[in-house]
Amino acid sequence: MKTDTPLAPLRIDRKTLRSLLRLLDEKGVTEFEYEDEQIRLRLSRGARPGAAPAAPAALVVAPPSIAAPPPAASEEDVLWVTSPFVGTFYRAPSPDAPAFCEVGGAVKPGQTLCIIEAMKLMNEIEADAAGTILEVLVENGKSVEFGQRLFKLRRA
Amino acid sequence: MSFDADAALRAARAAGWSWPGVIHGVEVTSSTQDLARQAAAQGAPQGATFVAEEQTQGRGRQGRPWVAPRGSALLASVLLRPELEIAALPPLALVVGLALHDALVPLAPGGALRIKWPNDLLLDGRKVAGVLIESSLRGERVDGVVVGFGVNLREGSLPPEIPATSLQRARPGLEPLRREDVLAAVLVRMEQRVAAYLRGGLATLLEPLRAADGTAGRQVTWQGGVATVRAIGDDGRLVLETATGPVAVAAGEVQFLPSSASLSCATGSVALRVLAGEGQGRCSTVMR
Repeated sequence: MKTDTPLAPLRIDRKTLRSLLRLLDEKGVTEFEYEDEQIRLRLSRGARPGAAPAAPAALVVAPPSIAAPPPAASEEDVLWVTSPFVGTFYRAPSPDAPAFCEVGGAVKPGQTLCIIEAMKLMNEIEADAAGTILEVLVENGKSVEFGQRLFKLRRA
Repeated sequence: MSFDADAALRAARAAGWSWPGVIHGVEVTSSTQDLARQAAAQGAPQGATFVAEEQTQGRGRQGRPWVAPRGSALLASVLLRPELEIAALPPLALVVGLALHDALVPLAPGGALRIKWPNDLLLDGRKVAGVLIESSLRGERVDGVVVGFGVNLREGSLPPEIPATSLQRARPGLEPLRREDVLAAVLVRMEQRVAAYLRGGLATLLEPLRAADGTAGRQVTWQGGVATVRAIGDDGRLVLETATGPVAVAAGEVQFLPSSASLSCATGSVALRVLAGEGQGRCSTVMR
């Protein structure tokens, strides 16, 4: 989060939490993360396909981590493949064909992962690094937004 | 008569086509899209064009088969290498449809040629040409864009359930069209319209696009309900009037209802689905 002036530490009481949730809801924000010396807060809303059946808002309030943060390498190993524009997500070249890739499958650079269709222009989205598919985040045939996450990969 | 690639290239060059690619003719192929995509992967230049007498796996959107009896249609794929931001890629579908429309209008003097968004061509309400565009994106780069199109020149032996027509229908008393000349006309207009899009964006093409549009006022199914097409929006998406206000759609989630179809069966939780498409739509009920 970039700001010009440092934020005052966020104190989370029930009232603050409620107004924060209301604000995120009004503004249509789907994810929010905040961290300072005392608190780490992550809010997300809406059902992401592939995620666990979602409560309207999931809340994670972690105590300040005294130990080292989780190994940075694991985060760095994760790649997200996102949609280049608004369109429809297809996992296969035709309804009867097998999917381009499956969870747990290895992918090579240049391998097609999916098609995003916009205005009948079929765009094959290719992997730009080798890795393993950890999660497919969108259902076949669903609309996707610009920048929406489509796949979660672990870098090889 | 077999397609004469050299004659087509001469005709295109004589009409001012300057893309560096050349035209290749083949007898039979799975799909001209496959040939152009292979060529793209091997570094072929913009304008490399592939024409087939016959396709064994001609396809449209999402693998739908494209049927064309041998020699009755111009079946071609052209490689484009546009200098475009990825976000500016989708409206290229409209630009290509407009180019095809421009090229075919003078060839069909006895009929009304309209674009069905995004880029199908209808002659007197029946499909006469279709486009399939395929591109591949790796990271931020556009590798190449392959524009495939089929133009029905004669009806040949199309199965009767296919609601298509041909340019010859709109040429009473005129010579049959040669595929070489049709291709040359399409390539020239494609170069002009793509250049205009790269220079000035979609804004410069909205006026001709809306003038050629055959969808305004048409009814479509959208998300299980029925909506009416208002117009092509400034960003190229189709703007629908829905029960809850205007909505812009970008992708294949709209189905056009036949202009003459009765909508009386669109009640309750039952949605209409057009099985046969333009003009000869049959509806069936689909439970949602």
